[in-house]
Amino acid sequence: MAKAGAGKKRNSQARALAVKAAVFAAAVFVLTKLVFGVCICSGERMFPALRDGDLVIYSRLSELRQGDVVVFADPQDGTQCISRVVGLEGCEIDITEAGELKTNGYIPSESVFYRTERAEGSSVVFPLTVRQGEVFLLDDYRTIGRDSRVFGPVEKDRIKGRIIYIVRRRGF
Amino acid sequence: MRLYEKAAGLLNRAFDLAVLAACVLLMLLGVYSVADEVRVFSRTQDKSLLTYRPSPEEAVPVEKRISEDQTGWIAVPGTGIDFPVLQGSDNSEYLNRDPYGEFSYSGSIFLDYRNSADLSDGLSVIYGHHMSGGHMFGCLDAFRDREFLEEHARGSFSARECCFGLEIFAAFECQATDHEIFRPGSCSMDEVCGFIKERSGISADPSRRILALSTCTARGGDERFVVAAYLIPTEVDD
Repeated sequence: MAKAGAGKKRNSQARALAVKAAVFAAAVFVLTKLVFGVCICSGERMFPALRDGDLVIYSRLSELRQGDVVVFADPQDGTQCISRVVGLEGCEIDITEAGELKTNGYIPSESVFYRTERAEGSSVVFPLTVRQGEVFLLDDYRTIGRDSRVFGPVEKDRIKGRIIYIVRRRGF
Repeated sequence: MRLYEKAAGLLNRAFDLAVLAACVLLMLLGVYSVADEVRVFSRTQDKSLLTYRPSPEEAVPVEKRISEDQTGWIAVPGTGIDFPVLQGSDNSEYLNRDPYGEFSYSGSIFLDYRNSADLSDGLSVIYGHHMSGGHMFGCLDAFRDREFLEEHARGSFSARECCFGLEIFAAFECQATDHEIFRPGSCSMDEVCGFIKERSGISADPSRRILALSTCTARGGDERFVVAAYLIPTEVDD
């Protein structure tokens, strides 16, 4: 009897652990697939807002707004990247010879300290109007950007979410 | 067997502790987020500013000014509009600065730097952040309801040496790039009134002085929401 009781206890402990782990894994899966996402910033293309090694948490549920920093899938190679929304659908984007970004004919107010040059050898023609279902993305560190200047406006479906939290442990 | 039981028990407890630690960490992040929001919003309700509030139909004399940059005080009873109005050397100076000149994410309510501080221009523009909960110029959203606008159409602007009554008559959305509103002085009043008519459907009188209160919309970007009022000069009691 005692043996059977111990076996039951052992089983119940193991079962409880398995159930908890399964519930926890399911909760984490649902949260990270439907509500939040986690991504590590690679490279300095969003300097100074983000730096290499920053751990970012993004919300998959937020509606996109101009100025949001977003995680998206690169349209050319599918890699996970981070960039900033500078134009929503209907917005006219131009990059002048003088290295200025213009949205709807005006220089937008943004905390970017670099000239915005057109990408060499790109097929993207300026000025362009962002089409329905697309957004225009630019990296903050404009001189090394691999963004909509290279691959044009990005489909909204490729945007995974808007960054809501960053954790930085180096590069202050 | 006993070892197995012990291991299962230990693992069970370790798992509970790990989940608890993760929850505590997430909770702390949440608490920090709330604390940060409270910190930002508390600046919008700085009660010390109210000691500078003039009584209605009273100008703001030099000794009652918060700083040299204060041009006046705007108030519309029942709407949340009750703010000192600042004016910087450009339109970014008071965007993230409180009326005392300290950094503040919620900024101040400020008059366009190109306008005369005595609101003598045909069109004067006052800006404020659109904040949730009706803070700062987030309270302008209520004017989207025509009935609310009609019920709260009267306000006042106490300038340095004179006073104005406000008669709010229109509310509309436009773009930050619409120079009829956002480049005061660059367009004739006929053009300004034509623009207001086009946007709101309300005919404005170009012979009267207009004050535009502007804020962002919830959608962000270049979209702006503007509440337009006539300025009615009133006598000042000395």
